[in-house]
Amino acid sequence: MVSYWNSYLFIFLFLVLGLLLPIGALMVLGPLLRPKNPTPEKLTTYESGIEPFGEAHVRYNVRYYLFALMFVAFDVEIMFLYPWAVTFDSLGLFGLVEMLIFLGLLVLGLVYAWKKKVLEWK
Amino acid sequence: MNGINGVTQLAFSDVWRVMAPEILLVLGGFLILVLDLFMNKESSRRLSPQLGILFLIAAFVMTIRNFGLVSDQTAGGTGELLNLSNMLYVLDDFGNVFKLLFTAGTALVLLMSIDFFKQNPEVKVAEYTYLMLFATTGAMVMASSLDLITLFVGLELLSISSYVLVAMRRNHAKSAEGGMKYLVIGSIASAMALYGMSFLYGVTGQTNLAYGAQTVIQMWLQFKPLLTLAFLLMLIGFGVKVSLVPFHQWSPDTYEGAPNPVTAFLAVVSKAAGFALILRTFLWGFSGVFGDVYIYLVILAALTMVVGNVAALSQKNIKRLLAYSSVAQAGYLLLPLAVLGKGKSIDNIWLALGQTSFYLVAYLFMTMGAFAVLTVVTRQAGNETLEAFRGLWKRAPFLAVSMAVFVLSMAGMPLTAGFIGKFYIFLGTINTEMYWLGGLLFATSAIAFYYYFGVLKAMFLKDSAVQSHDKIQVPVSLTVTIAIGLIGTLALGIFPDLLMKFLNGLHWFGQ
Repeated sequence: MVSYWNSYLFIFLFLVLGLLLPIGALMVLGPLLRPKNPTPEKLTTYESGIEPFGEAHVRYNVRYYLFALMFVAFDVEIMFLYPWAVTFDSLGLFGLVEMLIFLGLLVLGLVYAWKKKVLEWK
Repeated sequence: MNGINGVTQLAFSDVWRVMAPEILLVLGGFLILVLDLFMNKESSRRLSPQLGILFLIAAFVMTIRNFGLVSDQTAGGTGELLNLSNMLYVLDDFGNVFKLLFTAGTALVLLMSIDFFKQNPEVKVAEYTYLMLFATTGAMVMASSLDLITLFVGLELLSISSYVLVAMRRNHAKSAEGGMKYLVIGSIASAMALYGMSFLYGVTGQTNLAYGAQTVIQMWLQFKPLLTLAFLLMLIGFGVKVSLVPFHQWSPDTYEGAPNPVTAFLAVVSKAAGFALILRTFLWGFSGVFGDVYIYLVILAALTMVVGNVAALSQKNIKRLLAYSSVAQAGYLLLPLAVLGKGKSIDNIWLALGQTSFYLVAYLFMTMGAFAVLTVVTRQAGNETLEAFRGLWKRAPFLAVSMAVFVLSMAGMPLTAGFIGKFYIFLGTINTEMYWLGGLLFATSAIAFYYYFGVLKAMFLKDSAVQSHDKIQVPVSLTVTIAIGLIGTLALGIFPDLLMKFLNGLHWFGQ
């Protein structure tokens, strides 16, 4: 019982450290150690070394999300395929058919997206 | 656990025996999906609901075939539970009863939908149909799975399909509002349930309810607060799905915004699935310590009965009225489980399951019928207030009488199925000596009579607001739905033994 709750003590310690470290570094030690010499150049938003332009809130085309969803579906598929491939020998025919069904369903998803013209970029 | 060994022992025939109805519905759903993608004629697409009903009937028959497979020792069985992957998925009569409810309910919903599609040509028929089939599959998984992960997948399959179905009328503001509210609150509920499940897993180290139950008993003294927290979080999550007070706020708006058939689906199939999940999780996972946690169920059941019925009093919109009434019904349905905290013997559990199932069947008939009548009447009147029902007796006697039967059954009038259902639940409270809950059941039913009487008064005593003597056209599909509801409600009310004998003879969880 006690040891069980002790494991939560570590989480609590990490939480406290996680809060104290950035506060100590950025708000206490930082101002003490760094020279303070702001110029207008330094106060601009950092954008990989080029002059910042436009606004931070850019609107993306909604199609990006559809592509992202498609990507996630097939990405997750790989995640399932890998352990299946490792244990392929012990799973036998059952595992093969099972995975073919799974792949079949995912392909159906692709066909669906294709037919619904998700893959066309206009 | 010997996971991989468990898998290799499986043969295709096992999967088919245990999951035949689910497999059929999934295949049906995908068939409709593929047909939808490759068919160019809109007229043939219109036939998808009929195809869906065919698959549901097939699944219904497969489920009936599965009854009694559990402990059929006389027929050469081993008497063990038929299960997949080490009790991941089981075939027992509890699941079968609920599967019958789901398939029958969804078939009636699709029957009602045929008319809905005619009135709303912009709705995508095929998508609607296969989402219904997938949602039903999710409900079936919730009724038959014994593993927290599979249970959650089933819950999400049902929920996500339902979110889309509610918002199916895209250019309809109320539909979108209802769908959005359901999506947000439903997702939070799922997260809560999942959080609770994770605590349960954290303590027991297993996701399986059958094995986890043993560990819960061993760990109870040590981890009582943590396990109670897990129980409460799960109860909140599931409580939203079946709209227990105080987690019912979404239901009036969602019921109002959703298309009528979808509302009926939410009220019957989705709710029954939620109860299957509640019964499965709490009766298995917490079976050993149920006496310590049942009090929360009692509180929620009492609150739900009172608030649901009192809030219904002031409703002018008929769909919101039925929504609050369905909240109240959730309270009645929770009672048999809640009173098990005292006197939990195996016989009492069987009785409680029988009571819940009987009430759910009665509820299925009366709700489907009521929504079918409501569809016709509100369309003709052009609004959804109680005013729409004024003078219905003179305009359409059949509709008025059917609606009267359904409404009286919901209130609990003798000779209807609703009365018998409530009476059995009441007997259950007396049996376990929870007299005050039985009294509360009576008192809240009396309140219910008041607002149901408002519907009756509008239909029989008032004259129609508009002096239209046009005959109300009732489409064939809705007439069939109303007739089925009417026959079911009256038959169960007059001959309850038809169903009660069957339910009492079941081996719910196996032995």
